[in-house]
Amino acid sequence: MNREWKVAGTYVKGLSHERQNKDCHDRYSYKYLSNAVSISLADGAGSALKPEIGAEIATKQVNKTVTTEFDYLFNTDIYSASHKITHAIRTAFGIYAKRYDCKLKDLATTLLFACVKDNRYIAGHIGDGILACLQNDEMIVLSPPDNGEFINETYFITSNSYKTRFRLFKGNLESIEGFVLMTDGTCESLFDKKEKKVAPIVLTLFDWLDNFPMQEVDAALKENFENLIKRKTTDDCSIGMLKLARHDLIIQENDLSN
Amino acid sequence: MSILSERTANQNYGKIKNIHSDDKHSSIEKTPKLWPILESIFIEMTSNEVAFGTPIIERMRVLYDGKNVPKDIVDSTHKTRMLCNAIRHKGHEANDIDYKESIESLVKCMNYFSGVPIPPEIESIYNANIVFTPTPTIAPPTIKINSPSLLTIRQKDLVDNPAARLPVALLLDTSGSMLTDNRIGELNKGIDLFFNSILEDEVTRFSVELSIITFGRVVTKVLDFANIERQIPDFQKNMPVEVNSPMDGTPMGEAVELAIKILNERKAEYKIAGVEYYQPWLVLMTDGQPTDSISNASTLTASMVQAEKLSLFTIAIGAGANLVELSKFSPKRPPLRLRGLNFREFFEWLKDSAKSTSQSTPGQSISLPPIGWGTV
Repeated sequence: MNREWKVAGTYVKGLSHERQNKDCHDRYSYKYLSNAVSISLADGAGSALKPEIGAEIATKQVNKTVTTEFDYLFNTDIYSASHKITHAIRTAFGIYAKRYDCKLKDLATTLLFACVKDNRYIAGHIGDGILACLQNDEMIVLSPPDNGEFINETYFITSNSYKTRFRLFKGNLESIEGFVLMTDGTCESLFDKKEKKVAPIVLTLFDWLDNFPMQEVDAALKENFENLIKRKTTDDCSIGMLKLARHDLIIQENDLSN
Repeated sequence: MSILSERTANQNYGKIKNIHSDDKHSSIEKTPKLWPILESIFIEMTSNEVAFGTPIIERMRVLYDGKNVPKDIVDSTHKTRMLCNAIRHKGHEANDIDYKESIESLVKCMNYFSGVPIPPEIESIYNANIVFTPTPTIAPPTIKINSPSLLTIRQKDLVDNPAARLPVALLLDTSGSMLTDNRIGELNKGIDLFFNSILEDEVTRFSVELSIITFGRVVTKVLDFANIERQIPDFQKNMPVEVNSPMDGTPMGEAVELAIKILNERKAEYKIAGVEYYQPWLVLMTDGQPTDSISNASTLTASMVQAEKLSLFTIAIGAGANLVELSKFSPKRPPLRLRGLNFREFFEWLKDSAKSTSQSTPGQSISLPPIGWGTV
């Protein structure tokens, strides 16, 4: 089987930001580099001055770091790998904070990412939202939301406690065939908070990636998020998906003639 | 005849416009959305005549019987009430005619009782002779998407997570001094307004959970935390709160300790049920000074406030309230003195603040509405 990793994702402005005529604070990004591919998602803090810029920088920087440094990050210990990733993002924040004449906390954002290379993965998470993987046709939650006691509290890459709140996961893929990232707005629709389970429809979204070009899945996600997902919350909503394409499932012309 | 406020009429005209402009839903789906409007106007028009929780049919009778209200308004609003009940309780599906007739009945009723003219935009919904030409506006940018219809998520595919809760404990002074200038009567009116406005708001009715504790002769839990709709029978049964005797004291310390206890119990229940929640609120309203020790209670609340585990609002009623003692409860937010007996404005502010909080997202700083009802 050809090991082709496909990605899809979207972010949409929530009803609250629409009403206030503000930007969407969520961002989705992806990067292919050599054999590595990474997806990332961020939700800029509502209290920050430039949350959308923080989310943009964090998603792009983490993709760059994990794809270029994958082998080092995979082979080193968790602490060193976490430090390398968070340091790269916070350094980028420092540069942009200077450029935009603001403080690091003005770029506060949560962050989720997943990166695969060959038969290995590295994934990470700070803040709310969820990180889950597709394994044996089941969704497994790798990292649940990390809120404080109250729903409107969470942790950011700029928080003082970022070292202890940042979660890093790595290992061999074995039977893992995909990853999904969701911010908290999307969790309202696609994550059962009581049972801590991903909604079954997410399996269908992975099927879309098996059967349709990535651009079509991006467009469909955008449309569905605009029309449905964001109507269940006032928050911005975003999703990122990474899937090992199963070409064996696609019916070829030969199959039809047999 | 104007027993319906202009504000309510205009608000409801706006709601009807919004419902009608929703192109994504059919008349079948839009008709039930008219029920809260019908409900709210009859609640407002009969709030002085009947008890809270009185059914709409009774309210209609109170309003109509022997009052010489035009027959078409009486008949059409009764018809809309029955239609909405059939939809809500028997699964009846409205058609386009039902929808338009329901709108007509509501706006004619509001027009009759408020005197506020019906906007042509709404009249054109049910009256084909009225042609409404909207003011041209710049169309928002549309997203052109060519996704195949196969790639569609449906409503039934989504998870229904419970709304995050905001527990609000109201601690009310029912000591003897609350009889002065009928403070207790005005307080009760304010609480009734607060309860109803929480119930009627589409955000707060699912998020705010209310508890009421009184402190006078004894400390009493009048209302325990629950979904506001489920509290209606208890609210009707236990309200208004009363002063038992002019000699009753002010056991504020005991009341605050009880509030903290039941707040903690409720939070534990949320955790077990997987329900998320906001930082709880404790609203302490008094016109005097404690007649018991507040040492434990104030230490408890002060530490919770410092640790950002509790939002505490201390409200002084009248000049006799001891602000020094009250300030011991909350090291961050100083006590606020109610201007006169402005309970109505205070509770409107409290409801608006609860709504803002109920819609806040992680990291978002919550700015409460400006305070017009009191002074620091």
